[in-house]
Amino acid sequence: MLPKKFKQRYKKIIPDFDKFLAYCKKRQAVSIRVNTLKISREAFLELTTLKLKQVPWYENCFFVDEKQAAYVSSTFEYFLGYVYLQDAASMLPPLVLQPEEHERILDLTAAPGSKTTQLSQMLNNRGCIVANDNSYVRMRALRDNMNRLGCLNVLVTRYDAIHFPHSEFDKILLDVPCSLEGSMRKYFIKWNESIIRGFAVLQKKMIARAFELLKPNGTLVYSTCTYAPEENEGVVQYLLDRNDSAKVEKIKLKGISAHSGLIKFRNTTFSNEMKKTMRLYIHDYNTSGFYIAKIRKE
Amino acid sequence: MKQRLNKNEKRELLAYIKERFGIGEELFENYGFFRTKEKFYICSEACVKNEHFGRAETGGLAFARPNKHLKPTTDMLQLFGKHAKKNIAELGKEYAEKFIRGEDIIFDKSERQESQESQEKPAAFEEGFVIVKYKGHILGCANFSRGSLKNLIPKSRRVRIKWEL
Repeated sequence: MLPKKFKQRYKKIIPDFDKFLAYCKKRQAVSIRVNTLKISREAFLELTTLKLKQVPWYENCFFVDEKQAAYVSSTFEYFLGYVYLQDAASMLPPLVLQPEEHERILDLTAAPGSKTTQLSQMLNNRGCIVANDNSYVRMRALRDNMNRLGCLNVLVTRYDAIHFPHSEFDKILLDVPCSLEGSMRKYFIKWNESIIRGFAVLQKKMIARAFELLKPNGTLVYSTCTYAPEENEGVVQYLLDRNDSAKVEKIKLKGISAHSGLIKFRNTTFSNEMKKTMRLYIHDYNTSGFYIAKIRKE
Repeated sequence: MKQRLNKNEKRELLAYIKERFGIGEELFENYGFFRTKEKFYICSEACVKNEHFGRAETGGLAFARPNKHLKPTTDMLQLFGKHAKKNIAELGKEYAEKFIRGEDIIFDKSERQESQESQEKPAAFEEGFVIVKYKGHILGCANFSRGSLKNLIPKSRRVRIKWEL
């Protein structure tokens, strides 16, 4: 049951709001990523007994048949590390980042490692990804996932993101802790507006630090799984207001039709640049809701 | 405390892997190796050369444990074991299921005789660490001793497999 304040807050900004409400009661689609570090996509499709449907924006990602979804982690292919359970929308930020082998890459808030291991796979175990997180418990999950999937090109560091030591990276992924509104169907969350405000304060500090760690001409991908404009456009706007060298870039991805970022929420107006950022709602593809911004340092 | 392996240490480690499993050193040419008190690790060459290597908590994946004999890890074997040429135990479905569940595989006498012609060949490999396979997929590591495979799959990875969904 969604809080009344939540509905009031988002009625005007979430398109097709009745459909959105209907999807809030629907079970989220379960998806997997084929781990090409261990098996080719073709060999996996020959081996698996899972009934799969291709996710249009990433060839290694598939939706799993609803009846089989609960058993994925008990399959032979899961045991062998051939698949990773990951929400299809959460595979978008690494695709937007487009890592390349020779680049210096940082995943500033990496645990439990869904996106880190995807980056590792996209680089085919070459190059080096620095995967950082400050929580010891969550880092163990990151470590376990790296081991099961066979990731060799990841270094794990443990710093508070806002105190990450000075260095320079070509590409940074910043998937910040957030109020999880887009993942409400997966996690039980206690929702209120003060939580959103609290996260926004933290996220602004994190994006500022991430931008400092970026090389000139480097790319920062900022993402959340929440709808709150304070945690999305508000945070990106904060960065733009303080850094003339920060430029928002249009996100171009094949196979996905998403919504533009907002330029107005209640009494707050954001720059027109926010139209280049991307919003995905749960009723678009029955995934988590997501917000993604791609920022270049001039 | 992480310490990069020098050339001799790396050669020694890989010589053991070659001698035990027939996995050639050339496969590991482009990787970096380091050790902690408990384990040897393998990672990309770029990782050991990265400026954050010294300050990193860890990296890559555990390659082997320096016990009395070097014990290769399940994760390493699942990644590189397909290149092995010897000391491989190929199991049938029933045994594979048991092995993934974490059970030891005890071959009885009659099986040992039958196994000369079947896929399960307890007599075909030496005592010590062996790679366990099912239909060409690497399940992990076992210690073969006195006709049985002692299961070395980490507890956190053991699972009751559902074959048909």
